Amino acid sequence: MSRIRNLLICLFLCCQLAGAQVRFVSLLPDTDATVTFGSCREQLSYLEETPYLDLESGVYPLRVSLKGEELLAKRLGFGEEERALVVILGHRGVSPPTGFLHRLRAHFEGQGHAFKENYAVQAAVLRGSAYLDPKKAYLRVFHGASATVPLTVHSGSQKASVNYAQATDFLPLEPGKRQIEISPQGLSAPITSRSLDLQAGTTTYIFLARDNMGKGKLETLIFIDPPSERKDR
Amino acid sequence: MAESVNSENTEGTIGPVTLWSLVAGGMVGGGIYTALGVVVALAGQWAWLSFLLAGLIALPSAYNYCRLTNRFEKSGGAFQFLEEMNRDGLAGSLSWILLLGYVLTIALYAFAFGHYLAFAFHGGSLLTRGLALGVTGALIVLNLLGVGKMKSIEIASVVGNLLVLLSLAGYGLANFDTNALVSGIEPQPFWAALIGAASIFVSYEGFQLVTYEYEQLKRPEKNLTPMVVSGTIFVILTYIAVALGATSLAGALTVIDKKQVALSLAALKAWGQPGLVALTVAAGMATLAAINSTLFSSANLAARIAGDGELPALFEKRNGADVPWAGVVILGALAGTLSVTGSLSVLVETASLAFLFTFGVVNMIAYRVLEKRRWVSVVGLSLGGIIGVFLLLRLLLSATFALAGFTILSLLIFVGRPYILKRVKTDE
Repeated sequence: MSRIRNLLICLFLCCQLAGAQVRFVSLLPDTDATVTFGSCREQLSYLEETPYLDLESGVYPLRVSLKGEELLAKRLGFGEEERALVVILGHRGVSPPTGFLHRLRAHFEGQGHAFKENYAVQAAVLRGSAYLDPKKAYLRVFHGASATVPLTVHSGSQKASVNYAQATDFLPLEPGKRQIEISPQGLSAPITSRSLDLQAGTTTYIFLARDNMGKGKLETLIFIDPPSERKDR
Repeated sequence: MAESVNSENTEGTIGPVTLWSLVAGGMVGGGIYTALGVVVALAGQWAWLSFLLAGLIALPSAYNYCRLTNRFEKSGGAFQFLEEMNRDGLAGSLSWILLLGYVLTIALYAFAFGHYLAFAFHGGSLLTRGLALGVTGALIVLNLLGVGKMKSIEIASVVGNLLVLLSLAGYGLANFDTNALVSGIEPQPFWAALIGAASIFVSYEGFQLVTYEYEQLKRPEKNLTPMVVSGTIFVILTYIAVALGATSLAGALTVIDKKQVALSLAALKAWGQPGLVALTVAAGMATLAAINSTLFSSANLAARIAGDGELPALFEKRNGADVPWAGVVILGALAGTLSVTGSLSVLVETASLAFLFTFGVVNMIAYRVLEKRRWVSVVGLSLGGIIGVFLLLRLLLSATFALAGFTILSLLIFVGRPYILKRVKTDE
């Protein structure tokens, strides 16, 4: 029975057209986590990202392991011409909530549930890009810093709030040097501040993380996402 | 109480084509624009099945609404059916729940209007809220001036709306990508479709507004059932096509992430800026017509209920333009406030709960009153019961405060309503 199922899955995957671009970002404080996604296998250190990997569209198993210990296993799908970032975050040693009520809640909250997990290892998927104005520069901030309250991102007139395991939307900014300030929600004093030279047509990502079970210092990973050459979503 | 009309009434102004358009437009008017993201977040790749399941509850309910309306030969919908059965108390309580459902529905349409228009103009949350409040305020004023139900505009908006939605669905299906239905998300088990169906049931509520127009229908005995049932089937198929086509175009994660404007993103993907313009115009017109139609019908229903002493007499008072002004102002203002304070999922789900309950009562009445085809009521009641349990669980687990609020309001309505009515001036 399982052979037939595997054969059907293989046939299903082989019939798919090429099309997805996926990059992985690790906010796992441990070094050298192994991320396996379909046939792709990547070693990622803390605050490290892969380039975009070209994949055939389809549904793939995602596995994250560390020295043979499996930390995360789930399935993710990607369609044609999709561009996405998969952020791995959380802390090894923190168990995901279990029990009947939790499983029930997970089913009844659907995709929204992923954002309410505790600090167990999890994967958050961000759309790679939206329909963006090529004359603008865009900023997205991902909150992966455990034991940190919800944050507010300020830059000029733009302001956005973000909870743990979530990202802000694409914040449109005028290209040029911009001061980005990130503060705890409701407070004005920033916990981190960055001066960035933003280029038109690009999206700058800021990922925030903390190691040592959320007790370490706040660290950031910043990279610039070039515009997709393909027709983005 | 409504005047009875002859079921062979040939002098009505609403012929079969207009009737069909009002049924289809009443449902598609605002529902799909807000429901798609909510249902994809819950049911993933089975969103289309959710629309089918919810439609399979709406269909027997629609059929029973028509049979009961023709049987009593009076407008008034569920409230009138219970009055005819001399269940005045229950009729009063149900009508309050129904009015609550209409307020939530108007809020939902205003929410959609604000978001779709603000997205097209790159507006922020201030513009979105301003538009939602503005459209509600403007339609309150227009209704107070006696503009009332603009059937010709409503029909024109239905045609335009359906053309855009079906073109989008057709384009998506022609370029169908199975994987886009789970793009960026974890595939869901097929039974998640039940949770999805429960949440977006409100998308099918619009058909029953035509039962308030019974006196204006031409040959209702002949036209009402076939037009309402065929209109409902058409809407089920449209929703399924849009769920598959639009999600295939935009991708599941985008539909969930931007659930307030999911169809705009699908149109943008399909046809670029012209697509966005067409979809925004369609969404704007459809939601505008749906708000106006629901506000007009609910204010008139409130006046009718007040006439029977089940609401304060204030709701029955009419201004110089013969408009029940208190209903228009109070219901509209409540809806406007909710449209800028409520979250999309909570608005959709609590409205769904109100209409699941109402349709359940109508199916129960049909089972007791109508001798023929009782199995239709049994199907509606059974499916509605299952979906109702899923919706209650969903609200309990994810929107506990909204469910608590709805429960308290329902208790107030069922238990406290007679005391409230004793303390305020009513018609009786």
